[in-house]
Amino acid sequence: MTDPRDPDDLASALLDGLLSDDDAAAARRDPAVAARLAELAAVRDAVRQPPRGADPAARERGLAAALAAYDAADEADQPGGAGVSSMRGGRAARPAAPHPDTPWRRHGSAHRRWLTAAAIVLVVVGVGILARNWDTGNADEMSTARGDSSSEGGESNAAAEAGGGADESARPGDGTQLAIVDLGDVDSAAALAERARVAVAGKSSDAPSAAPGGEAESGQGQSAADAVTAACTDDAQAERLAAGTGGVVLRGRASLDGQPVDVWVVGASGDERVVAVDASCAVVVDRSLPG
Amino acid sequence: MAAAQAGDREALEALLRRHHDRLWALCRRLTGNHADAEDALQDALIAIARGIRRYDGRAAFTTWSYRVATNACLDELRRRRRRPVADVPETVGVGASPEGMGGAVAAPPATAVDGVADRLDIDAALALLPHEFRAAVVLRDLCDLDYAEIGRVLGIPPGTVRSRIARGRGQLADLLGNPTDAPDRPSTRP
Repeated sequence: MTDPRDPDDLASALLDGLLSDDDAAAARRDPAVAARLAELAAVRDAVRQPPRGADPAARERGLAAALAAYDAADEADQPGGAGVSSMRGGRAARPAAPHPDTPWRRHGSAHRRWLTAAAIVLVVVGVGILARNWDTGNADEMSTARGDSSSEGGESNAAAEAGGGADESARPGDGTQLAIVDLGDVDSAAALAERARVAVAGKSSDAPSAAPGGEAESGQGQSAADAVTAACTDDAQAERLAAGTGGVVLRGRASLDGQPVDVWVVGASGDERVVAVDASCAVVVDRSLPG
Repeated sequence: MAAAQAGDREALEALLRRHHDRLWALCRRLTGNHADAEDALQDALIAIARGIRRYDGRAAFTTWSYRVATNACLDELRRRRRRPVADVPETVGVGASPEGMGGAVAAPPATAVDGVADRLDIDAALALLPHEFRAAVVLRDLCDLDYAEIGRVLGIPPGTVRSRIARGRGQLADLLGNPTDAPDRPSTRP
């Protein structure tokens, strides 16, 4: 609490009409308060000036993300929800397990998609393990393990397998297969972006870490649009958002406020964006990768 | 409002569009730059959309949405402070190095007209204020909330609101009146 005789406090209170008539008259008679009143009024007028307007595209992205979140929460709304004061806590406190009437039920196709992908990956991994064991058993043969992140001289077989050629803007990690990185549970788009940033930073120096279960998919050389739309072929918005953004730097998955999302970091080095889509292929995050 | 709470998507969209500009102004003033304001506002809009059903009407929707947006902005500012890379504000005019804005400062264009120069100065000066002072001043002078509403938004008593507004305005007046004194002002850290 400021000193009630402090000129700033008196002038500010006077400016906002908080003083009684007598106190206001007394304050105005004080030269220090009177002088300060003019300065604070100028400050108030300056703050009142509206800032430059929002970028229309950013506004539409924000509104689209909000509406997507609304759709996802539409059926997941919990009874006895919190009021205003617990709004922020409520976001983090959303149940991890889906409510029986939540959108997860209508996302069955997405679940089937993942199950199918997982089955394919398991087959590929199994074949890879068999091949690797065979190679190991042959002492005269050089290792030609696919996706070996320690490949020397940039002559990784993965580059040829990807068939997309080298991306000039790709990071060092692009020379390897892109594993799906588990970004964990987050409660906001910003937190997700931060996790992605950390993961990308880790990829710059380390081999990519596969998600539990060892799933790995070849994403090297894949365009952002290909990556996003491959998972969400029914969502033109994802295609638009991803179009022309360059290569895929990172693939991942996360739980965003209790909702599973697929995550991509796309774009050229220094200009990456984090794009996340939910199980219904709605883009729920599209923002720059934090510095 | 009632329709949006009842699940009417179009009603929610109309509601968000109607309030977008004032929430943008708040975020833009609180974060000090466009990029962070966009991120914070997107978080706020998502939070509003997710929480609209739980909005109980005890506070005006305007106050509630300001609260959500203010919290999103303060979160964004906290994250920005942890980030090592400088965020370059596109509007800085005070000749100081605002820590809260990544330390990047550009001189105001010499040909700037007064109105623009005023906006440049106020953004940079606001960036030098502690977050809690900045929020109180912006909610009062830009959003035109009364002290009780600001108290509800920030979760502080009205007396503290009065103190923060007075001190914030006082520091702004000093900064705008004599920007070269800015480095000697109290720490920008809250």
